[in-house]
Amino acid sequence: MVSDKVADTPADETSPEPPRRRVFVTPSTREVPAEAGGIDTAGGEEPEELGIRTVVVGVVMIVFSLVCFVLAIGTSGSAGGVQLSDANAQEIFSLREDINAAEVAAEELPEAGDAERGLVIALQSASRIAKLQNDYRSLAPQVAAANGTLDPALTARTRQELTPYFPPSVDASVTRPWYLLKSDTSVPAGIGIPRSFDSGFRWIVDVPTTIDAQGMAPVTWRAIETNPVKGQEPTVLAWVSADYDITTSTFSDVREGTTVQGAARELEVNAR
Amino acid sequence: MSTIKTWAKAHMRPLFLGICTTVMVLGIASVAAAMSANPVADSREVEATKEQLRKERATARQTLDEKHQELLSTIGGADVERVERDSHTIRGFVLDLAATSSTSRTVRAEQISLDTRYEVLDPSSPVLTEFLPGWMASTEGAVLRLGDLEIDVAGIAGLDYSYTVTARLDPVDGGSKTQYLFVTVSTSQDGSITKVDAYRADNRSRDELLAADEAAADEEAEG
Repeated sequence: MVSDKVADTPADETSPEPPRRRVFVTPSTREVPAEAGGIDTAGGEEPEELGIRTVVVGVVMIVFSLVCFVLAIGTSGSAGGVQLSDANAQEIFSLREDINAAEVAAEELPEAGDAERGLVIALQSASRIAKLQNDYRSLAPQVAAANGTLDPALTARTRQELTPYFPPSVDASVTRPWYLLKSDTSVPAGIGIPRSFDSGFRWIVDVPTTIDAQGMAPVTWRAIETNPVKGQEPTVLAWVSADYDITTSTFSDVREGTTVQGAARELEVNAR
Repeated sequence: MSTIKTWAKAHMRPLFLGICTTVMVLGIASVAAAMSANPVADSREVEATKEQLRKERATARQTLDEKHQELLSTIGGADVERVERDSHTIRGFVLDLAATSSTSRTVRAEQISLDTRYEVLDPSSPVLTEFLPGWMASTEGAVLRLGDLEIDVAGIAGLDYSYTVTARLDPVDGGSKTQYLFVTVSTSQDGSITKVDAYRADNRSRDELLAADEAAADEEAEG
């Protein structure tokens, strides 16, 4: 018999009087321990016990609240910081990249001694490149004679010498003539030595003086006229800029530009 | 202790149900709290993270800059402060030149104006006689802004410093095209310009330079 009484009058433990509805009578001196829950096997109604219905209700509530806790943890986890919009995620990523780049650059900045040596070698290499490009000037008459085409055989040797100064990332056109002058086509071939060719322009190189924060030394070559108007600075016909990497001893990020004056006087080369 | 135990045993049911109800109420409360997780609070977290990273980036860049400045002062090539001062002067000059693209004045008026402002220029300077007319004609009133300016030391002769400058000027509106300038400048110790020559990249060269710039920008965006 399951007791369904929830609100029983509390039994006075010291009272020798038995609670109501007891089936048997206990001696007044003996204390009767109450059942600790579960079904009343004695068949009597024990107001202190938990009935099955109560237990079921309680368990349902506990299970429900466990589900709630799990849900709460789950929802708060996803609504927290993990749910980033694309724009935010990208910004955070690129911020981290910037930090890394700056730290790596600071790490890899050369020592003063290496930097100075690097600048000396940069000037040496840049001067050599200027000389090789100047060798190309004497090809102008041959280009004109071939109707604007340049026979690769004529540039083969010079290209071979220029190639090691540039990494593969630089376009191969950097090893071909940067600029040729129209008026050079009528210059006599002379004795055939490139350096004796009386060209109307020449390549000069600036002295690399600084190293930037990425460890690169900026270098600029200029094609200037050899016979300027009297009293004036020689006109710049074209320029080439590059970054010299002292660790790899190569020139990268090569940019060629032709001025308006240079374009007007340029000898067009067709075959490339 | 035994009083509590006995009391508890006597009030088993209400105690048990009381506990269960409390737990359930806590469960509901925690779900309610989680559900109503303030989106403003979350975006504040994200902003805080970004702000922290920005600070870290500024610090890292400053460290790099300091190390770089230290390196420059030790290799003893160019005087860093001199180069910086001259760079300001050069930048101002390039901007003045470029600004003539959108002027309402005549070429002659601009020539006079620049001649007056810059001591190094005189009526026969190629900058005024050759560069300026061509520049104003080819830019056709376009408003340009400085997109990129690179100033490199070209040489040091005694107290005179020489520089080569490449500048990219981008149109403010879509109507006109980017222009590239090549400028050679020399300065004396007091920072005044002693020599200057300016050139505009011809159109075909400009197209090639722009393509190279855009290719480099694409690479950086992908990388």
